[in-house]
Amino acid sequence: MSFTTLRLYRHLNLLQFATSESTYNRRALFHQSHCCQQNKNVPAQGRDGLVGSETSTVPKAFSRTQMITRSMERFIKHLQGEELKRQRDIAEYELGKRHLANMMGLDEGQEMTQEDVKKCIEYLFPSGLFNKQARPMMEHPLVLRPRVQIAEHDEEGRPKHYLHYTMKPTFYELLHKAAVKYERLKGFDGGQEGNLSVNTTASEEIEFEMLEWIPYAEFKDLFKPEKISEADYKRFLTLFSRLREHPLGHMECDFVKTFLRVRQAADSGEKKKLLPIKDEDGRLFVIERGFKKTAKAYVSLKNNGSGQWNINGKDLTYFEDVLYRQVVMWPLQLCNVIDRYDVSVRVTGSGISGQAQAIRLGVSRCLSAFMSQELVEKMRIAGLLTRDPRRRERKKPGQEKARKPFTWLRR
Amino acid sequence: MSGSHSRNLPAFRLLSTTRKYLSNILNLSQSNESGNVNDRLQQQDPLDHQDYFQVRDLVSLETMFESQCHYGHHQDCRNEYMTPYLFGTRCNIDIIDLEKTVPLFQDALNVLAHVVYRGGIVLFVSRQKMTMHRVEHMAKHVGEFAHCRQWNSGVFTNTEQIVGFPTRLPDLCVFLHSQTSAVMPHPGLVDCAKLLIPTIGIVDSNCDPRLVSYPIPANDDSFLSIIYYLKVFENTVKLAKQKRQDDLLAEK
Repeated sequence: MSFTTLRLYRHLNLLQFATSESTYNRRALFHQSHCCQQNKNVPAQGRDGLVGSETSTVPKAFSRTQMITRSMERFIKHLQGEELKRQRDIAEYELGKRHLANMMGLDEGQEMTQEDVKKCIEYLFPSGLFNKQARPMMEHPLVLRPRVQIAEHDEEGRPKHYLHYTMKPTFYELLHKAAVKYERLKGFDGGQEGNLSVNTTASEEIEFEMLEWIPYAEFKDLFKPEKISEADYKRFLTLFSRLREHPLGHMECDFVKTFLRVRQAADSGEKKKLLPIKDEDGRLFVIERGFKKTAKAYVSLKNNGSGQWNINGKDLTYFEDVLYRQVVMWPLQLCNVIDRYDVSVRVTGSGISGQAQAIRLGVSRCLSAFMSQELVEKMRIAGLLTRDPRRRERKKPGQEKARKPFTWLRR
Repeated sequence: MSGSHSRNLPAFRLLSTTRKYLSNILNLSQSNESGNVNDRLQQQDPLDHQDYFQVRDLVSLETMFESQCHYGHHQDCRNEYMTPYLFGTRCNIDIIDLEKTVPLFQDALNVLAHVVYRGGIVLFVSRQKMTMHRVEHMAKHVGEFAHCRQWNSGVFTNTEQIVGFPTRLPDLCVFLHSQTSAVMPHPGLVDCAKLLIPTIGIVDSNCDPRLVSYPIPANDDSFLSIIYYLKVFENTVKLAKQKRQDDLLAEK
């Protein structure tokens, strides 16, 4: 007998011991309580009082498979009981609705909605309780106690889902599918990549760009009985963003799109976020203003462009100094979209530097309408979306300039 | 799995179907020639058979070597209980003795096949991100179960509370990685030990082989070797399931 056989032998012996032991104890206890109920004159025996002939009447322990089927049976029975109870509750609820209609003198033929029930209850049982949840209410039993979702299993007790033991099978199956798809994309070599990426039209890509990920609250509800934590959601985001940003990501566009939503303007913010509008050509554009000192820039940013600039009728050469050209292009460079947007600007006031920075603010504001939340946050951190509040400080009397005193002379 | 003791094992009592099948043969042979009964039974009893599912052929030293299964960790990370399974050290890297690994691997496969043959649930566990999806894919393909995500400590020990109803637990866990990180043993191993669920595990030179019922000393980090193990496990489960189906049909 080999070493492993010995191990197995020991293990199985233990297993047998554990199952038979526990069944024995349970049976013994059951037997004892049963006896006590039958003749109450006999003083209750202790646990150790179980002796001799009684132990011999203990039935044989169940085998492991029997235990499994028994537990499944018990569970199914429990479910059936729950279902019966629920049906009774629903019948009671329907009857209650009819009574309510009677009391309120409503037309009996008409079906009462939940709204009507609520009104009736409020009228019949007025309550001054502050907490709304503590007030009298009447709800459909399925709303109060939703049906418990159960994992499917066959008659042997084998769960049907291959990820059942992770406790979040549907969620993890989704991640698994995405991972398999991502691996497949990684498998394509560079030669194919070039050919395949041509297939998408530019407009599709832009549409794809205008979407954002489904929020956590909504995502959580997709897998209802499973508890999806925020960490899980983050994991989902990481994987799906990778899939989406892959050079061949558009191949899995349909799969990814089920979790994308059209970006909505934020309602809660102090300032509503701008949304791009379509012009006659079908291109999306945004108009925004930017300021710096007394400079004002009116910027319009058009999607689906080729990096054209129009500043007061000139191109980027409006700024002779390369530094200011860089300043103006920084937001586009940060988002890596220099050659994808056309910009036209009308700028007045202040000096060259002020004008450049005013344009920069205007372009950033426009871009934030197109870019994802992450990139906008990146721009904000870079200070691109903040208006520089500094103004020229006034000259003070008794001083040469705002701060500078007159030259001191010994008299 | 050889030896006369195995037939007396309580939990490995034959399935009713198999037993019927055997009794049929027994009756037949009794009518023909009674002297040969024991021999026949000996042949048919899967537990007495040295290699009932022919899984021992699935493992070969050459393929294991080619799949880089002999590489261990740096010798400083070595677990002292792994020393008997090591061949030596080269450039400060432990080299696992595959001649010792092969029979252990074969025994483990035999156990796996027997469990599957009896309709047991097998759970494949791994925490390695690189091969996670492959493990899951294999488990799905083969009709078994996988758990490659963060281990929820109540999955086995507190099932009724967590799931909300009684669930049948796996009968065997296969750990393709017996550690979660470079330091910690997989918490699933502890839970399996608590519930007396036997485990098969690939143990690298830095793992503790004492935690696993059927340790397979081999490299658990290389992509190639993990793909190799997956292939072998997949074939084993398939063979066992095929055998189970054949025997059931033969009984009918």
